[in-house]
Amino acid sequence: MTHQHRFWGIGILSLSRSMRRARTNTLTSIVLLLLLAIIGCSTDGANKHPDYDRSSVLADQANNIIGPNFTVLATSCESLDNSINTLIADLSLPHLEDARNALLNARTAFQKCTPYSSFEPSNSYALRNELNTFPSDTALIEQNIASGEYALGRVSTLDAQGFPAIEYLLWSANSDDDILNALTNDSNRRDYLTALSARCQEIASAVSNEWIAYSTMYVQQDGTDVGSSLGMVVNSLNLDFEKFIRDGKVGIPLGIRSLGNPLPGHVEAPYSGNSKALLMASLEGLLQLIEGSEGSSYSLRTYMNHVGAQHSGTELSGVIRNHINDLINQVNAIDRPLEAWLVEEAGAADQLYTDLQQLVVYLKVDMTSSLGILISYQDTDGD
Amino acid sequence: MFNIEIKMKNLSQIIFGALCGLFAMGLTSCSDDGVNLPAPYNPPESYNFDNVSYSGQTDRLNMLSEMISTIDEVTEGNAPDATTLLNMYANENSPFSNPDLNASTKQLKSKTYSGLGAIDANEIEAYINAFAQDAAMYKDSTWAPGQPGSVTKADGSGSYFLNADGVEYSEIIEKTLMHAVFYYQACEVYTREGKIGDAVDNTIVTPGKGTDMEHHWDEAFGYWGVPTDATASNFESAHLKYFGKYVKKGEAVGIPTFQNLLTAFISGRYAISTMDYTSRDEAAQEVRQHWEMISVTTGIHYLNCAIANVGDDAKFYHELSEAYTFIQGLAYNQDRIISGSDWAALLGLLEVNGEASFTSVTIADLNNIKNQLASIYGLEAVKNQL
Repeated sequence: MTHQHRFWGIGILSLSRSMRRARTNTLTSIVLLLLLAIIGCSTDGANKHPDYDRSSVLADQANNIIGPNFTVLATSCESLDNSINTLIADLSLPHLEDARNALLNARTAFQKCTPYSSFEPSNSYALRNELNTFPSDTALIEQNIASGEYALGRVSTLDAQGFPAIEYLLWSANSDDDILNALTNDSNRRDYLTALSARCQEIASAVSNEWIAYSTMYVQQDGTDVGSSLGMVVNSLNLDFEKFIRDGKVGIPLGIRSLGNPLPGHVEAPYSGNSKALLMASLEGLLQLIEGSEGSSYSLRTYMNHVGAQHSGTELSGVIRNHINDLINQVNAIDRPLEAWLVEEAGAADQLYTDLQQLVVYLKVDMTSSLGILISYQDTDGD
Repeated sequence: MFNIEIKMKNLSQIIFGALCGLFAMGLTSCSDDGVNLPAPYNPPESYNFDNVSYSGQTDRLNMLSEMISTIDEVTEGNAPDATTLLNMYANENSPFSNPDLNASTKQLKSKTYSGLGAIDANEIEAYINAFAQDAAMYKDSTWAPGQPGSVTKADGSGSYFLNADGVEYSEIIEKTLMHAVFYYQACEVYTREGKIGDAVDNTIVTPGKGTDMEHHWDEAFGYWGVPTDATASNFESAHLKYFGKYVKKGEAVGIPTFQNLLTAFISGRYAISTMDYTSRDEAAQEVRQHWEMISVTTGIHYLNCAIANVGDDAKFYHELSEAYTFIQGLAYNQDRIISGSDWAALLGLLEVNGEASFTSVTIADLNNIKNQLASIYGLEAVKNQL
């Protein structure tokens, strides 16, 4: 998979940066381990706080956050598919612009859905992998177009489909004219583009429809054990934040897996310059899930307050809210495409990553222990 | 000449136990200050019996370890040749670095399942040959669908060597041999009529090895990879090998995979030593049943891992190779819960032309396999946590 090393040569080995990060990580790990050790000695998990109306928390999530967000995702994917079909029927600049806007809308809607994409029904449909595997393998995209032989949904095809692949087809050429010409001159390219948007729509609407049936069970499973809805959603939002927001959107492009060599082409939206907007949207989605819907009396926040959750003597829910808002402000202040900013403003980018890492402590250690929820996902590969 | 003694222990234990029982019942009404009776012979908490010996099984477990270490050298740029690996498989021409293994009369190949319906010794040799060929040609290549080679984990922490279909040679050879030798021998040979039936001697005690029947049962236990002093409370820190280690997937979600299989082995050995053949036969069935659960829980675990690691090709194909072998391995037990047709249908989702092939698999396929396994084995409640 050559794309993993595509940008290897661009970065200049910055030892001091990677060493500084390594030190921060070591310190954070030690703190995490200590905290875990303390928790391990003092908690008996599941039945620690049985006296809260958790089903109301779940009902707010199901009816006012998850359900509506899946609906918006489904309708925006439908609009995207329509826009693509309109573009293919009449290859013109206004239609290209419409399709690009529709893609950004669908991707923004998707960001709100990722914190709960690791359980049903998203999990069965592989919502995240189908719609948003990045970076795209552009060689595979071109190969699929050239051969006309591909099966979307295969694991080996996921990095040639979804929003990132649509973005590649709508943006990557030198000019708008080149994009329109490439589509005009190649029916396989047009077919591939329509197949991609149809697939997004199909998956998004299936998930949205199945949520309706699933949501009843979601509200009923109101314990705190591993199989409970709260256990699932808290695990899911942590996994999403740790692996896909912190690492996927910032850490990996910044070089955390490449000895500090930045991989700016690994940002979420490298051709459109929309990575910053998508990062903002995902932080907002995370905050919404924790805070609850507008005016709701039952949410993860109220639950944390109910059990008196604290971080270093301060109310934990407030710490989390302020911290996420601070992250949103940091991202909002980015004045150029994320891929450029990560390289050109290394100091600020390191700070952003460190602050994202700090949120892991609040969410994965403080929040879970205060609510008696066990982190059950693991990122290991066995032996 | 072996030093042979006639085994009177069993009979005397039964009589003694019965007498103690009667005596105790007679005394209950007037035994306020207790009577010091010798403790009756009870099943131990660990597999701690007299005359337990399974060094042949331990040899085979160690042979497999060394064979797989040799295969894994391919990710460090060394291409092991087929002859060396085939010699290790058959223990010919002193292939091992451990001289004790070279001196051993045991080998893996002769104990591998040989027949239709599941991967057999010939197919294992075919995988070894294919591996050696691909390793020689592609050890420095980067893997891609249709192209053998190494694939590195996204975090850079290690590599795996895959065939053109995304199957990791190391895993399919190791975990299939676990099933086609260890599991197969335990389920179909050493806990069956031919080895522990009434026609097998259970009276002549060979010191250090027990009776033939005891020894055969101990050999089945030896394939599990669990030391004799492991108990339900200390096994996590015990030196576990192969199937002994994989009890942990079920235990992690509250299924007592370790305790169940240990209890079955202890009950069976106790039943044999006390000549209780009804209990022995029940225990033999329980061994097969609880061992099967180790493979199923581990198979689902690796399906979950693979699904979670889509996008990291190294982890994904490594974990899917593991999942495949644990599901394929269910075949080596005739008493398995899954029907032959269900097994073939689920495995078929991971195969092309009857051979493992993962590059056209979808996440929906993996979820389908997982959901059906969970349904067949009653693991619905824990299938996502495994």
